[in-house]
Amino acid sequence: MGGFFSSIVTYQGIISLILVVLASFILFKKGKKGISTRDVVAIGIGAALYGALSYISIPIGPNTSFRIAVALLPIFGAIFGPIVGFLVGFVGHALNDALMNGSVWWSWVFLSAFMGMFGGLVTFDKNFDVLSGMIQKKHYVKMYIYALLGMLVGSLVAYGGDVFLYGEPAAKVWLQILLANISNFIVIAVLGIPVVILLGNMKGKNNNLDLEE
Amino acid sequence: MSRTGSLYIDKDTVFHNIDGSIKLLLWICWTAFIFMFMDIRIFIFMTLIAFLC
Amino acid sequence: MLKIAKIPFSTIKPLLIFIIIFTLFNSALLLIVTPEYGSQITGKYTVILKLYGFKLTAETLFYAFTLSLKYISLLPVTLLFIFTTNPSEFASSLNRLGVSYKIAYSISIALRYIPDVKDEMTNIINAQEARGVAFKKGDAGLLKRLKNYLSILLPLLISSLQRIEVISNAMDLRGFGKHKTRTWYTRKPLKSADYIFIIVSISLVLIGIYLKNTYFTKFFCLSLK
Repeated sequence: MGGFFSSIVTYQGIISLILVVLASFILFKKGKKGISTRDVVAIGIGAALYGALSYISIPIGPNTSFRIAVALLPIFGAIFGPIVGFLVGFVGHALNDALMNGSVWWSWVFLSAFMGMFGGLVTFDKNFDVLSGMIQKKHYVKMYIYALLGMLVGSLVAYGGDVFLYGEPAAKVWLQILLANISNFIVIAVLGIPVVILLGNMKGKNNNLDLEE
Repeated sequence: MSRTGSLYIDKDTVFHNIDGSIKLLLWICWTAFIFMFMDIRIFIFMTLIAFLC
Repeated sequence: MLKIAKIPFSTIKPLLIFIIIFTLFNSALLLIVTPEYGSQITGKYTVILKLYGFKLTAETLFYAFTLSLKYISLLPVTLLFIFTTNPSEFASSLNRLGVSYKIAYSISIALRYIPDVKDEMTNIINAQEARGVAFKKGDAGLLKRLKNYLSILLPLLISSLQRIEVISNAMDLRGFGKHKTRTWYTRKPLKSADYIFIIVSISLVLIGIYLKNTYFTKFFCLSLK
C-alpha cells in the first residue's frame, strides 16, 4: 500500500514538472522579442491592481472566498498576452502576500501565475485584439477553455509545491485546490471574461474606420 | 501599510546597512533550508534565532 | 535577527496574529480531512479521539503542529527583508540577483502605484454604493453581489489602461529599455558585512543539505505513548 501511494505521488510530481516545462516553452517561444515598455508598465499596474483588489473578498464558507483579484488575470492576459499575464499573477500575488501577510505561499503564487498565462494564450489568434475591438464569438469559448486549462496546470504546480515543499498531506491539498478552483472559476466566469468581452465590444462601437484590402 | 505602499522602517542597524540583494539571497536560502525539513526541532531552533537574536 | 534589526514588536504583531490564525485553520482542516496522516508516516497509532468512523491520532496532531511551525519559521526572514529594505532599493537588489531590470522595474511600479490604485478603487466603490449598488452581505444574493463588482472592475480597468498608456509613453520618451543594462541611483558597492552574509546564506543551504542526508532525514515524532 505504501509503495503504491508513493508511486502515485511521484507520478503526479513528474506530470506537474513536465507541464511546467511545456508551459514555459510556449511562453518563451512567443517571448523571444523581449518585453516592451508598455508590457513593463502593464505588469506593474496589473500587480498594483491585484494588490488593491485583494482587499475585496466575499466569504462563502470556511477557508474559501470569492477573490475578486483573480478576475484580473484573464483580463490582463487577454489584453497584453501570456507573458504579462504570467507576471501579473506572479508579481501581484507574491508582492501582496509579502506585504499583507508577511510570508509568501509559493505554490499558490504559481496557481495565479498560470491562470494569467493561459488567459493570454488566446492572443495567439491573429484576429484577436481586445483594445481594437477585434473579438468574435468563437473567442469567448476559447477563453473559457484556456481558463480551465490554466487552472489545471496551475493546480498541478500548486499541488506539487504544497506536497513536496511544505509537506502537506495530498488529500487535504486536493480538497483545498478543488475549493479554490471552483470559486476562482466562478469569479472568472462572472467577472473576468465578461469584462474582456465588454471591453472588446466597447471599443468596437467607436471604431468607424474600415480596413482596406 | 503606509502611504508609500511599503512597510519600511528607517533605522540604522546591521540589517539596514547590508545590500537589499544580500537580504534577498538570505531570504531565498532560509526558505530553501526550511523547505528541506519536516522536523520540529529545526523549526523551533530557527524561529527562536530569528525572533530573539 | 528581528531584535538586531530593531523592528518593534507592535509592528509585527498583526502579521504574527494573521499567520497564527491561518495555521490554526490550516491545522483544523488537516485534522478533519486526514486524521491518520501522521500515523501513516510514522507507523504508530495513538488514538486520542474516536467518533463513529473518525479516528484522530496523536501523531497527526504532532504533524499539524510541526507544519504550523514550518509556516511560522518562514515568516521572520520575509519580515526582515520588508521592514529593513528601502522600497527604492528593491528593484536594484532584484536586478543584482540576475532578474532582468525590466521586470525589476515593473515591481517598482507596482509598489509605487498600489496606494494610488487603492484610492481610486475606494472612490469608485463609494460612488457605486451611493447609487445603490449592493456590495454588502444581506443586501442581495451571493451571485448578484459578485456580479455587481462588474460596476467597479470595468471603470477601474479603463482608468488603469489609460494610466498604463500615460506612464509607458513617459518612460519611452526618457529612453527606458534602450540598453541591455542600466544603472541604479541607490546601488552601492558591496561591503565586508555583505560578503559575510553571502557566506552565511550559502553555508546555510549547504548545512541544510548535509543535515537532511544525515540526522534529520524524515518526519520527526516524539514517542507519544
